[in-house]
Formats: sequence, structure tokens, C-alpha cells
Amino acid sequence: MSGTSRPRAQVPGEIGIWAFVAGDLLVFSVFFILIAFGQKEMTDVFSTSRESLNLYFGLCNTLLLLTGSWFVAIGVERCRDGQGSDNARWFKLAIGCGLAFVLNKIFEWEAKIGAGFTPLTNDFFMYFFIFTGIHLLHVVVGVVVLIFLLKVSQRPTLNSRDIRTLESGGIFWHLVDLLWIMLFALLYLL
Amino acid sequence: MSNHKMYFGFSTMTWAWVFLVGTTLLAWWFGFIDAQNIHLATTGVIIAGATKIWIIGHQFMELHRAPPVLYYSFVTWALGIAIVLLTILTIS
Repeated sequence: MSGTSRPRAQVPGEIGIWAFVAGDLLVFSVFFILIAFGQKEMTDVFSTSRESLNLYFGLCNTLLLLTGSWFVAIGVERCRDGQGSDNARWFKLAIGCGLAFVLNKIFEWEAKIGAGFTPLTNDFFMYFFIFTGIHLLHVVVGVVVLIFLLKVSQRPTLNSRDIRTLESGGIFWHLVDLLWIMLFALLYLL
Repeated sequence: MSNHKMYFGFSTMTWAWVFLVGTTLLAWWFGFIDAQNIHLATTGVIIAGATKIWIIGHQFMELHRAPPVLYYSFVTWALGIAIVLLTILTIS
């Protein structure tokens, strides 16, 4: 009889976070579809408006969230494996990425509003401000979650409940990241 | 016990980040394709986005070790939203 066996499949984090992820994905799916229909029905308006966006703001934000997710993933993995002596630094780095995203988004909105673009300008900018605004709220909540994860990671010993907390918080942050990926594609790249 | 897997000196998490950054730059390049290839550009952008979403779910969210029902529900959503968006954007 073979001595090898596959590791048992395990839900990362708590089941509850996945219920939240599912709900949020459905809500944002509606947002994505609305943007796509707008692009199809008002192609000229959307294309012209998109040219007013600064692609570098969007690209920078994408790289910040991807890098933040990388740091969170490493931090959670190292805490779970008991590796490394200062795993809290990964969460500090991720918090830095999150705060940089928020600042970058504020600068971008300030520039747009200063140039005369508001949610009332046209449908493209309505979607831009509302959907990136809702996403920004997720980022702010995500930063608060990361601060909590930082505190958890600094405990002298981590039990299985702590690990599930870290995993669940990490999953929320990764959700924030993946939602932005499609928003960036639809609002900046098409 | 460590679950780390290393490839050429880097962990799978790091390789995932490298691939995500690379795919981001590829999607950015698709955005520069001229109007004659608009459907190609749109398809490239959406598929790159869906691929990145899958990598985040599979690697960062660790769905690769989740029960199949959870993993395949996520994959179905990523694939489904990509198909719906491509259908809306490319079919006249």
C-alpha cells in the first residue's frame, strides 16, 4: 500500500468570509456589466471620457494592490508555518500599499474634479466616481482589517483560531485586489 | 511543517506576483492597440483581467487547497463574468 496521501482539502479562513466574497462578487458583477453596456451603447462618450483618465494613476494603483496582496499572502503563509521572526513586517508593508492607494485615488479624484469632471458630467464619469468610490470604501475597510491582522501576527503564539483570522482577513484584502483588476480593465484600458 | 515550494529560488507566492505584474503590463499594451483591432484589444484586456483574477484566487486566496466546490465556484464566476463581458463588448 502506498504511504503517500493527498492533503485533505480545507476551506481557507472562515466559511463566513466566503459568503461575503460571493455576495460582493455578485454586486460588482452588476457594476462590471453596467460599464460594459455603457461602453457598447455610448462608445464615443465612453472612449472620449476614458482619454481624460490618467492611465498611470490606474496602473500605479493596480501595482500597489497586487504588491499589497503579495505581502499579505506571504505574511499569512509565514505565520501559519511558524517561519521567520518578524512576520508582522509583511502586514506593515501591505498597510503601506493600501494607504498609498488611498492617497493616489484622492489625488486622482482631485485632478478630475479640478478639470471639471464630476459624477454628473456623463454616464462614464458617474460609473467612474461611484464604482471606484465604493471600491475605495473596501480599501479603507481593508486597511483597518490589515491593522487588526498586524496585531494578531504580533502575538507570541498563534493558535488555529488566530490562523483562521489571518486567512480570513487576507482573503478580504485579496477580494479588494481582484475587484480593482476588473474595474481597472473596464474603466482605463478598453 | 513548511508548505513553501521554491522554483529557481523564489516561492510560488513571488512567482504569482511576477506573473500578475507581467499580465498587467500585457493588458496595458493591449490598450494601445489601434481602433482597427478593437475587438482584439478588448478580448486581450478582458482575458488578461480574468487570468489575473484566477491567479489571485488560486494562489493568494489559496483556493488551490480548498474543497473542489469552492474552487470551481470561483473559477466558474471568473470565467462567466469574462464571457458575459466579452459578449456584451464584442458582439454587435
